[in-house]
Amino acid sequence: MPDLRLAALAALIGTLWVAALWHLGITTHPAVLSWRRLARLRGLADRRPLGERLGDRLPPLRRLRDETDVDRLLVIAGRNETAGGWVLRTAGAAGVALAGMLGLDELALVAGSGSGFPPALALVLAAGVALLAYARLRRQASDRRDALDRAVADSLPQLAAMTIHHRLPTGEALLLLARCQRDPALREVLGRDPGGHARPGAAGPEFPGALTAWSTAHTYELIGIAYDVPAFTALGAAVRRVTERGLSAQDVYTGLARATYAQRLAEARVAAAQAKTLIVIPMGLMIVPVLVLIGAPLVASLAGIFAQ
Amino acid sequence: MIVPPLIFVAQIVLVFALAAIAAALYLGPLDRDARERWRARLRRHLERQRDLGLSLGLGLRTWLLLRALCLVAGFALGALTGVPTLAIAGGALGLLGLPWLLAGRAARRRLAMERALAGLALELRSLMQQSNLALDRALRETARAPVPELRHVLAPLAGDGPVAPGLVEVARRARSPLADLLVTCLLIARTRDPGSLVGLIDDVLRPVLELSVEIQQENHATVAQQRAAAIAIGVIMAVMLVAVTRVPSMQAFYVSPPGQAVALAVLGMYLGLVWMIGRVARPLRWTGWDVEAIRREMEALVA
Repeated sequence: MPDLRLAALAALIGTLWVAALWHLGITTHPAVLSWRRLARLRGLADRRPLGERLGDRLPPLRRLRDETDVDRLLVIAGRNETAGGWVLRTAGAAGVALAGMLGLDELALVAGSGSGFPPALALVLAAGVALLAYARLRRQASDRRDALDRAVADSLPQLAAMTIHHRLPTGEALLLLARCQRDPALREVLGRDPGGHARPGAAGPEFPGALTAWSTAHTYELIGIAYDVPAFTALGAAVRRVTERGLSAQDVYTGLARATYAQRLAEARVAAAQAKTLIVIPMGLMIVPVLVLIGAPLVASLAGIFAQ
Repeated sequence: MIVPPLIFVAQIVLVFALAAIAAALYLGPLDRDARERWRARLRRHLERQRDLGLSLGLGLRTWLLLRALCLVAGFALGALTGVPTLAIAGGALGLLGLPWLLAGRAARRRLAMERALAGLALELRSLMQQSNLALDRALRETARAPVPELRHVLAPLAGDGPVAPGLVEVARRARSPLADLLVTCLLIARTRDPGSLVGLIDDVLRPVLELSVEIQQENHATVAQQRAAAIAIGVIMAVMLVAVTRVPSMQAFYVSPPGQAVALAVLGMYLGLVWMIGRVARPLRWTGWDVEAIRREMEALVA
């Protein structure tokens, strides 16, 4: 049988050679290379990571990336923590759980009562701790996203009253309203940049990749996309209608408030209708504790009889 | 000395875990916001207790004292059975059962008040548009002849004091996000353009107030029915438990450690199911407003 290792090594070296040539652009036309260099110098080149660029072409990949992007989740959750720190802390907690379980197992072994449980259980527990930490982070991100959505939507009637006759710019009015909300989420997200526009992460953690907005409307749209808050995107579009098309601020914001509340109330109505059906489940399960209460002494006495 | 392999492996795992914790502490600070979150939770809990107390016409301190008395009474009743677990469970039921029983009453009170708020908004609009009254004057008129549900809430506006602090007091007394929404709009409209309030009431406030009250009413009806059923089952279980503990053989089982574990499990199941009932019909959530801050900001804008 021929030795395949040499063939595999040759194939690997060949592949690396081709990859290096492709990376160095040896076969690329000089005009294309010049254009790339110019685009890079002028800031026109797409410098996003490969994952993001692939995500544009493959929506499922983008969704998967969004769901598992710890950096993004940490920023949306408003936690001042790096992804590396979070991963290490989670790994530490999982490690402590693993060590604790193995320690218990060891104690049982040393005490001479045999191994208490299979060692794989410790691994499962450690994995469970890590999964719980991730689930907690996702819940925090989701809660804060909902809080932001509510905060913007609940500011719309006040925004309509404040911006009447264009006496106060929308950006100023929203900042003022954010300062008056009990939940600090909106206040943390809105801030001031040197250009005078709101930007994400001003008071809270910085969003990866600074956003370069050139108007209040654009800023709100970018925040909406970055934090996945539809109310911000809708507000950005509304601001655009007011500032660029000259529509009445009161009409636009009142209309948006009406539409937003109508949607929220429709969702609440559906939830209320579903609750009528869902509530039957815990009511049906109420029989279980009653049965356990009566049955447990009987089962115990029967078990005692059979044991004798 | 030969170290057993498992101990050796455990030592390695422990060293890794400690190294990981040290690295995490170095790279990312521990959750410093946790204390702030706990404070916010405590504040929300106290607000809820204040609401429940108000539904009985009690202050927060009296209400907390009443809960402590219920805890003692529940513990004493449980102790009568002679089963330690049931004594603890009785205390827990005394502590947690009273707010659960009264939650419906507090919700009904708030709902009636919120329903009246929709009427108040409509009345304000009519006074401003048809009777051509200024906003402050319209507020005073409505506060001087309020519906019974709003008498306590609107009392600060009925006198001759300044309107803005009166509105802040109205929001404080109402303790409702819908009232906050209305009051913040009123405070802003007073300093910007009172005329815009008519359109805002027609287009946003009145439909929102009416529809949200309708949905909450539907939710309350569903939960109230199930709450009544849960109470009935709880009473049946308590009666059965008392009957069971009177039979010597069964009492012997429930005094033993396995029996106490079963009693705890039954109590846990019941409380878990009651908690599930409360989670199924969730109320509409609104953003909370610091109405006093709104007043300050508006006055600063005018100045």
